[in-house]
Amino acid sequence: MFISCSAVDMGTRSATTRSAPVQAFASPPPPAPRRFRDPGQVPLWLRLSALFVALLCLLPVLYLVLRGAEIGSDLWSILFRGRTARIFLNSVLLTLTVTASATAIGVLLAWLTVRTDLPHRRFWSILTCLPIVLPSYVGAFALIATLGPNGALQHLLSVWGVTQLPSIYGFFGAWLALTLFTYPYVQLSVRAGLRGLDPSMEEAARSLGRSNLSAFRRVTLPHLQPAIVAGALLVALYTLSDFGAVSLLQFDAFTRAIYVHYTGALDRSAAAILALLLVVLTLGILTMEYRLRGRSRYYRVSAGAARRQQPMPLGVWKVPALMFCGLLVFLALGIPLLVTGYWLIQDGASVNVLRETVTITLNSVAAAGLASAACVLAALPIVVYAVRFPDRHSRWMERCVYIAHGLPGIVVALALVFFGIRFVPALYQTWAMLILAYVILFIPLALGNLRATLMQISPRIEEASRMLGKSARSTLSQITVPLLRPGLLAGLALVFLTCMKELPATLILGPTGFPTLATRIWSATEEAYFARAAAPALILVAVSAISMWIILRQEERVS
Amino acid sequence: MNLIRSHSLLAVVALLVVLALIRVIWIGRDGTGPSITVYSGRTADLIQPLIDQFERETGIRVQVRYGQTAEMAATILEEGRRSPADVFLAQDAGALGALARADRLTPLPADLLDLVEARFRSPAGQWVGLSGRARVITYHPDRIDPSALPDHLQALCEPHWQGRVGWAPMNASFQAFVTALRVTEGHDAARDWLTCMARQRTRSYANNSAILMAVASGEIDAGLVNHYYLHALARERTGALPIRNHYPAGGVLVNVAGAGILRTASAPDLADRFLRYLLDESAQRYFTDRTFEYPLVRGIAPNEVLPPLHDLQTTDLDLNQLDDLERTLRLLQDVHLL
Amino acid sequence: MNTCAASHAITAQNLSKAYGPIRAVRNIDLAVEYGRFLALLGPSGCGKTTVLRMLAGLERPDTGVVRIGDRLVSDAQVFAPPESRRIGMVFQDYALFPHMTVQENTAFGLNGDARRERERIHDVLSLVGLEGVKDRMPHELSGGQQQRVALARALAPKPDLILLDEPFSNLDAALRGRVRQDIRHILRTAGVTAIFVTHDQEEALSLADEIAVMIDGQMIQTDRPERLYRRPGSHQVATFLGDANFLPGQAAGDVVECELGRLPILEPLEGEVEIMFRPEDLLLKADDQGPGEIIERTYFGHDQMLIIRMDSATILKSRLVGCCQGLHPGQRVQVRIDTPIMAYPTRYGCPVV
Repeated sequence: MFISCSAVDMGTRSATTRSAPVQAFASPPPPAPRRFRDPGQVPLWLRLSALFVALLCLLPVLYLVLRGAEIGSDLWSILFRGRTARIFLNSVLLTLTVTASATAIGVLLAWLTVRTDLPHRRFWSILTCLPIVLPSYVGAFALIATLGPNGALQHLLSVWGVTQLPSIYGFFGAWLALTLFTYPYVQLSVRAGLRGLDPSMEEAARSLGRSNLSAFRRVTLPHLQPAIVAGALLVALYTLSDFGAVSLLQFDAFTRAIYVHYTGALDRSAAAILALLLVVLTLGILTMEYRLRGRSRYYRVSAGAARRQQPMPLGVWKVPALMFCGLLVFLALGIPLLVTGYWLIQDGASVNVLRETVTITLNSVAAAGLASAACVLAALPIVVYAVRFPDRHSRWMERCVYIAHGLPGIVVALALVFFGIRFVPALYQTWAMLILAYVILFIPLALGNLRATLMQISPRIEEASRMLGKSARSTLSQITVPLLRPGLLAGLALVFLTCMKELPATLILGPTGFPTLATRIWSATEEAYFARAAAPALILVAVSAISMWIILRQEERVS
Repeated sequence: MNLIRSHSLLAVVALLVVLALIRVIWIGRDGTGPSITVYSGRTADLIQPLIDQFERETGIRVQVRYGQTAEMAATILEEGRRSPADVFLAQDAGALGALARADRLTPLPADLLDLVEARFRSPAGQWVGLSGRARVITYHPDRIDPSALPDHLQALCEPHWQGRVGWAPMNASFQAFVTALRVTEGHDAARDWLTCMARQRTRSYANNSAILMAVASGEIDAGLVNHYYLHALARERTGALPIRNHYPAGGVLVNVAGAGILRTASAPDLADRFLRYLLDESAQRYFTDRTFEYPLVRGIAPNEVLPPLHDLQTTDLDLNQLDDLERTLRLLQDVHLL
Repeated sequence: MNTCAASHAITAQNLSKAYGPIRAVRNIDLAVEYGRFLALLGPSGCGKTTVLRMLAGLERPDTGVVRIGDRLVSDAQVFAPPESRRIGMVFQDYALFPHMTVQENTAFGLNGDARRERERIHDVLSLVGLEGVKDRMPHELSGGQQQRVALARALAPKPDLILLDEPFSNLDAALRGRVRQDIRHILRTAGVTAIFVTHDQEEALSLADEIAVMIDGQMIQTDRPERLYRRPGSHQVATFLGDANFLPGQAAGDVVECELGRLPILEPLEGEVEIMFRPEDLLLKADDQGPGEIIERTYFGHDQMLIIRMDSATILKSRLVGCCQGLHPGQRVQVRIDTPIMAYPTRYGCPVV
């Protein structure tokens, strides 16, 4: 019926409609079709920029290979002596346990502060994330002062006749300190993941008769897997590369051996060989991470965009949850601050500290700020490549980017000394060099968050933008980047907070005469001028708290 | 619209960039006039006032890069011929010796070297000591009667010291001490002593500060440290500090913090002036009064809280032998201390 | 050639696409005249979405040529990126920009002066009936509203052609019928050419001017809806487009001899054939001596479906409009076919040349 008359209709309609589109697009003449790449292929600019970043991050490894090659006959004696095996195992054990405990705490805290009706959620969010900013040697000092033999805790307990506490030194102390100062990596990463989560999935699970907890375990948790694994990876690599905490807490880890070679006989070749072993260990961890990451697609495929999430009522668990948060904040933040405050009170009078402190604070904030922006920018091409065009190349590029993160800072710093002074002497020991060092050291902090967030953004949304006439690049800036904001923010925060406490690269590669809060704290504690360390340490925490607050406020406004 | 929403974030980032640029310009501005670059293993707390004074008096700008002695030495080695450093200030003789062996230091003029006793400088004249540090036993006076303290450090491996002593095997000053022990008492004696101490569950700390904290809290009763930490800590604290230093009558190792001029220095004459300044009376007094170290220039008395250097039964040792660190490290590794 | 190209909004010739060893699309040809709607119909996984994405420029074909109007956008040498093709697309999950309001979503593809842009947004949003919610965020809308935003967004830049990927699959059944009519109305009013992909034959039959049936990456038949329904080119197409009865028969020219007697066929054939007729072609009459028995009845309101078992054990389906007294399970019936029917040559039969 319809068709029978449409045969005539069609002719007239097509006559009228044919003119319409021509009019609509009359202003720009149709561009001549040009040669263009296959949309399934990686754009050249993306491939090149990702490759550039990956190669930069490989510089430390190249340096280690060059230095290690000079070793000669000592190679086997270093590799096969019993001690090497022992510290290797020690490091593996510490890394595994710290990663497990920090992940458990981080996931729980992220969930409590994002998805439940925990009172004063923002307050707890800031406080529980702050321990990340404490240099591990400061934290370890504080733990020893309070929990160590004859520390404050034992004095308190001696009233009840407790004369001896389990020793803080050795494995337990190193595990405790590193767990307390690294769980925020998981927490911040998972926060971003939780915010990008479609609440309807949890609701669907619950409507299918699942309890809250079960819905969390069966639906939320697997969905958060990329974010959790990203955070856990950072914890693992931090633990592997940490020197401050393990040396103060007397745990015989790999980094200690590397430092001994550098600082004792200045034997850079032997240190390089050991550091290369660390690279192997890091590659192992990365392979494990790749397996755990999960291969499912985690963007929403159902219709529609995310709705606002309703906080889950904690009910009777509210009090235990608050106690848990309180205990963690006390251990990871309270103790170091109390100890630092105690140092400050004992300070007779160092008034000139304040004048100097303004400059130092400015130095720290500026360097960390620039570095965080640079890290996020550098991480973007790698992330877009790896998530949108996953292939063999992208997998290796990602790994390259992570390797330097598992190395002690001094290795990366010396590598940049080696290359910097030879190939870009004009930039040597300038801001550019310092920022580059920070990027190489900390780009994974930005990468993990960006990757987890991008995986939750459907590629259809980007295609929709292309179909509306936007080029790949303006799609990136108008659609992808704005949608990536939770991940961008978390990445910025992580890099910023971590750069604030970085020491070896800042000392070696910063512009000459460039004290930061971290270097100030270090030089004071090094010579037992604890009182002088107090002011910069407290400022470090205060500045970080402020930036944390700004970032969390941003994050809330986004969602 | 979307841009407006991201404005506050942009503002924060922009602010940081502006701050950074201001800092960059500020730092970059003061590049005029004669200047030298110093890599300092001494921390700012121990030397910056002296450097400020030197700048004021001479008009020479001193750009100082602070870091750990060994890290700074490794940096200089890695930089090679292109190193921007003119002067290297080290906390211990070992690092200076390592740079001298790598031929990175230039011989110093004889009149400069002669300011310091021969035992506190390099015989080849590549570095000179600036201040002395005595290896002492630091102890908790409530827990140990001073008369019970030994005349020799070696005596610390007697059974009643078991578990009561702390040391810092990763610390350069400790390693120098072990080197001295090897040189004076022989390699095997040193090994026996280390093994004995390790068997006695001597506690390993990360550095001197940590040992001091541990002694103060009563965690251990005694520790092997450099003498001046105690005085630095005492001055910072308003309350009484429950720590004392014991100078073993049988021999004290005096290590030095010293300096050398790099072979590749761009302003060797200014570097020379700087070193002379540090060996000048006012600078030596600074070390005496402010950092509680031993002055090394003849005729200047150490701080009154310290036993005079000539009263100390110092170990009869050529400090140059302290750069034989490699065998010391191997020894420490053999006895599983490193 | 020129005149031919100008009468078509889009033409594609010999499109193929393989993903590794899987040949997703094989040698597809299609052409859509201005203002007409083409449905790509096929079971899921048949490659129809890939065809759509190749037309859009989201995938590059391995072989073949695509022209939009008289513009060559894709061949072995040339490949225009999606943003230069002036094609609107409505995605299956709508792919609305979650960080933008309805208005911002709609304005995204526009770039002109602000006043004309505002007018255009107003026009498009009124066309889809969403003027009232223009400041809402996508997550504050119902599924049907979201879909109309996606449509408005695609229509706003006045594209030559609009592609819709399973546009109704995310809507519940009750909504679907209404939305389908709305969309057809909107698209007709906009005077736009449309290609949409669906696996729902009812959707294709009711919306499209022309339907292309795809199975296993190949285009089996392209025709007007009623012709495709009445004269499906093969057994496969016949089953895919609604219910069908099949019986073996012996063709001789215009007629076929089968279990139901001598029946006229639509295209002359010789030899062994398989005949196909729709359930509504099978007329029933209650007769206790009839050769078949009603074994099942499914009532739909506007019609009913009866399953008949013939004495020969053949099962037949019959659709009857209205209510027919006495036709209930257990009743024996006479069966009859009045209209000419389709017949397909079997292995031994052949078409009359």
